[in-house]
Amino acid sequence: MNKQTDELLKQAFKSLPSKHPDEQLNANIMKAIHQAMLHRQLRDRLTIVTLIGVSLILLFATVITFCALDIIDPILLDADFFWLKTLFHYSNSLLFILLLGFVILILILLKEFVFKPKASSIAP
Amino acid sequence: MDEKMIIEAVQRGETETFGLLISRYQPLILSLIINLIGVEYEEQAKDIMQESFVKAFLAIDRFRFQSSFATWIYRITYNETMLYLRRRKRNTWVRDDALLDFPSDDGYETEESTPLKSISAEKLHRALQQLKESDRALLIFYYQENMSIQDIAYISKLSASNVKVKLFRLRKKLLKLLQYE
Repeated sequence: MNKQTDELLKQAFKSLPSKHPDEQLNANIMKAIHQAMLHRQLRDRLTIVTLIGVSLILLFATVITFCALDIIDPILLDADFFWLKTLFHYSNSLLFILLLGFVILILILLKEFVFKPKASSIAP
Repeated sequence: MDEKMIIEAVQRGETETFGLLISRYQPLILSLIINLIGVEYEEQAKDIMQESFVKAFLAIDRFRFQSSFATWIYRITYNETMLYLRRRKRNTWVRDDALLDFPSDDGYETEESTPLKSISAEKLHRALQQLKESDRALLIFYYQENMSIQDIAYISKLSASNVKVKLFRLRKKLLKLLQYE
């Protein structure tokens, strides 16, 4: 390949269609950006509400399970049946899973919405 | 205002400052898209450009100045354009009749044997129409936008050596097409 041909190609490519600045187009893009920002803010708020809702449900379920176990634990432990003891075992696991889920959701909430400020979520 | 300062201002939340970047890159981005998808699709090109700028704005807090803003926005635009072209099922650039008449690909000595004296825009446009969009993009990035091999590799998600090889082959193919036109 010689450099002359390369230069010739470069010159030819420069003659391809090119556009000039268009203020109206720029304004339309900014408008679209504002809309996208509002959409994201709304989505963020919905996510927060959903996460808080699920966290509360999990917390409530944890408390209920804990209270229920407190009542039925002595009965389960005293029981001679194997399946009752198994139920006791799984009840404790459920309590643990619920608590873990609650903690994970709280951590996600903190990470996403408290410790990470988003530049684009600030109103213009 | 320095580009780095503009981006940092946008990242701090000064949304309107992004308008400066739009003003700076809008003609370049629109020209690039039009050259990739065809002059007859100018309205679609405007939509693609708008989508590219919106995506760039929404992701600007993840921009870490590891590349120039130009390269970054070109990459977003390239992805958006390729997405549009994939969606547009029929390929308006490849003319089947032209491909059928296209001379065989063996032997690349054409350029040396009969060197081109001049290339008109119309001729180049027609020759480019016969290339694949991704191939056309590589040539446009290199010849029209004067981008480095590294930047083209970043935008097209290819390795630098792959870009070099592709450009070498595409240049020969293009010259052959230009002589055939």
